Amino acid sequence: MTFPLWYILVPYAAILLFGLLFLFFNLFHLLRYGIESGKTLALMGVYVVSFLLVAGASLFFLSSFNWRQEVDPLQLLPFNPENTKTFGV
Amino acid sequence: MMQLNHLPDSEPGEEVVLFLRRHWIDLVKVFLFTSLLILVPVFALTVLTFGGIQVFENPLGGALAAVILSTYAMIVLILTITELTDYWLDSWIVTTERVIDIEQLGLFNRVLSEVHLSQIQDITSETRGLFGTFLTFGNVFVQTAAEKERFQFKNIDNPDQVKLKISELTQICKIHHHHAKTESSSLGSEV
Repeated sequence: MTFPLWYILVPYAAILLFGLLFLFFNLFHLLRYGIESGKTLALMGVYVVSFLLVAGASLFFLSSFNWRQEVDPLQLLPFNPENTKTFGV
Repeated sequence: MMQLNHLPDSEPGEEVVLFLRRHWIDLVKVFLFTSLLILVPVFALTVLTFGGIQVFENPLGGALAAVILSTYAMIVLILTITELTDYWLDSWIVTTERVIDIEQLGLFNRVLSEVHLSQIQDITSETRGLFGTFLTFGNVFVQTAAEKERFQFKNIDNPDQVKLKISELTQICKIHHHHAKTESSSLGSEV
């Protein structure tokens, strides 16, 4: 039984959207309830930059895989003879 | 955003004397916790590698590990950001007229309390532990005659000096109020 590898990107996409939503919530709270100062604005900038860095790095890392290929879940099992490379057999 | 020189419901001539946040040691705790969380996948991958399991050699295993790591990184980031927001929005403002306690409890829970200085009955400062003593941070408790009986300034810098300052402001406020009462009662008796 095989499935296209990109299926496992779906939960990641959900987490990414969730993260974006929480970033927005945090920025909203700082904007609404924070004390008006350069430090608050700087903190908001740090949030945005950190999010972009983490999202960018993870997308770059994920782009190194071929997501269009079909994969078999049995590939993960150690006693599968095809897994000599993975399990050092 | 809230402006310190334009606080809501401020009285004429009211000035901000102290604006306090929690001591930076609380930030250190957040960053230490984040660092620990970052080390977990590093440790796991190291153990797998030493155990002879080359996770990224397997097309499915590698992709799955990449997705798990990316998801984990995003979750750690969001947790850290949320803790930082909680730290940043917790604050205590002492003005010439009142004490305002702003407590952010998570992201969607916020408690704002204030008490007039004339309603303050007792102020206690507390410094505990090795770190508290050497880094001079601790708690200040303000006992009031208001609806919220006790205000707590948690993990603030120099709690003893904060206590002295609030005591001084409370005394000044009470003297002013006493004079204002005396003047209005003498005006009333003249009429």
